[in-house]
Amino acid sequence: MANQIPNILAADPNDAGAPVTHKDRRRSYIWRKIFTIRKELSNNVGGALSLAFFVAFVAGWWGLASSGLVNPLFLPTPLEVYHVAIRSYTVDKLWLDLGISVYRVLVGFGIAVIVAVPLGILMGSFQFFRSLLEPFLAFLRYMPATAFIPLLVLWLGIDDGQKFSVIWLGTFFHLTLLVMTSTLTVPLPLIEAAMMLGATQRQIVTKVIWRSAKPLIFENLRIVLGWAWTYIVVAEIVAADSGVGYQILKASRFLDTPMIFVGILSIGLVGVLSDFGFNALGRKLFPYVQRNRV
Amino acid sequence: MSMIQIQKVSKFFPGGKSKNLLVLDQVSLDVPEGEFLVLIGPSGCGKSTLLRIMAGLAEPSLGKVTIAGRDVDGPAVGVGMVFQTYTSFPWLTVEQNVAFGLSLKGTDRIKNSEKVRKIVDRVGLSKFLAAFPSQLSGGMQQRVAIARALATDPKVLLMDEPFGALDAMIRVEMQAFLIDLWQQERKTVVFVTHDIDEAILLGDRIVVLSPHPGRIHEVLNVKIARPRSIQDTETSDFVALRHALRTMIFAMGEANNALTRPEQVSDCLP
Repeated sequence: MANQIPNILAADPNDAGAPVTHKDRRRSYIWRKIFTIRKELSNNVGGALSLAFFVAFVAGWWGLASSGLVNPLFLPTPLEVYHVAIRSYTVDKLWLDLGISVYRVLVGFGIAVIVAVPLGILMGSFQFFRSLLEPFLAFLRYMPATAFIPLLVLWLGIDDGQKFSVIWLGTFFHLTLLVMTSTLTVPLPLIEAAMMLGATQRQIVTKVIWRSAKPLIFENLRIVLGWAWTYIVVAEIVAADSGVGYQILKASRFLDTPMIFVGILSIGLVGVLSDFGFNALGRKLFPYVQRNRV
Repeated sequence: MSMIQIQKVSKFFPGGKSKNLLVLDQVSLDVPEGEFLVLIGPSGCGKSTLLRIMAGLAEPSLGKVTIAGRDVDGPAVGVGMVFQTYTSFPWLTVEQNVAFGLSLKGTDRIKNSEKVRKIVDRVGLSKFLAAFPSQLSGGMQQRVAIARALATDPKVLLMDEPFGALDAMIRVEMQAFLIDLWQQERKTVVFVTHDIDEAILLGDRIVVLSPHPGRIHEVLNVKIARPRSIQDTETSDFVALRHALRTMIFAMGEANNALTRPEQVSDCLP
């Protein structure tokens, strides 16, 4: 804003003592335009910045890969990765493995959601369930899900059941606690207002607490789904005969570095897409929620 | 016949170091049917706590409250409440918010919607039936809250500083609105405020509470003729009453500042 100019110029240590030239003023103007705390940039500038970083990253990668500083066996160029990606999705049917991984994540995560959401809401609504379960869940949460994989292989073999369990273990405890926390943020005055309007305990849970916490719980699901992707790849790398994780491991055995990149990027893309999907669905489901950022 | 009877109600909160904090000390009060009663006093006098006890949202440590002859032991049918914070449900439209209490009963939808529209019209929000609370101003949100409470036909309306968060202009507007509403509905209202003008403008009686512990300091009858309007604030009766109240409350505040330890003040919040 124009009325801030004198203050900011005076505060600039570079200007101390020296006369303020036209060039200085211009530079500080641009600087302020870009770097003001919490100031929004125009969509064009914001989009250009986001794109610029992607481009710079790929360019850097390409430069490094073709510089001869790194053995091409370990770092393929983006172009090689692109070719391998095309081949593996058309000829080698990598999408089948991707489909299997997606299926495992959806089932494992789905089971976690079905149990975690109602339990989290109960814990966030009744001190009874909170006292009963919170310390136990908080303890289990710190046991790394990946450490259970060898045990689960012994118990369940290397079938899908083992994959579901790894994802379930990796997401369920956190998700329950996150849903509980989201439920606890429902403002008490809303609950009391419902009480004064004659709502029963059950109605308060279903018509106020659940409805009020739903957007936050939805956000919890979005975040935790991202973790599920990590767990599925770990589970598939340790013990599997299909799935993207398995393909990554196989590629590693054959020193097929571009293929490893393709596997990693595939998971990344699916993750980003599911994130977009969640955000779009969230805006549709909760039009009343005011959001300034996605 | 008295609608609300408060019988020797005391409330203490368990404090640290073995000392309980006494917030209300043997408060007794009768509110006749159709009266507009105002509770006023400096912060820490327990006025909100007393209202919450009447609502059944807090339990008295000693004594009891009866409303329409029934002991209060929880939020009861027939008692509506309007809070200081905005409590409209953000996921419901204005119409759905006002219908909330009725929809809980599972009564006839069509009948409900007629009634809801009538009440929404009554509070002047007909144009905003389909709006979400986030699209409304603070004053309009409080109108929604009042309409929502009225929709369940309460005999008693409890209002906890309902205009406290509104700016001065809107507040005056809302006071005029409430005067008008009460003039027609003649509900029994208990209204908590710390605004002296608001107390005189609205109340049939003003109960002045003194702090630490909360006790009834004085009960004043407001003899200014009804229906009242904002113009009445300049009449000599009004000015005299305002002066008396202000002197009373400020004297308490000073005595209180001299006595209170800082930790007590924060403890008094409900």
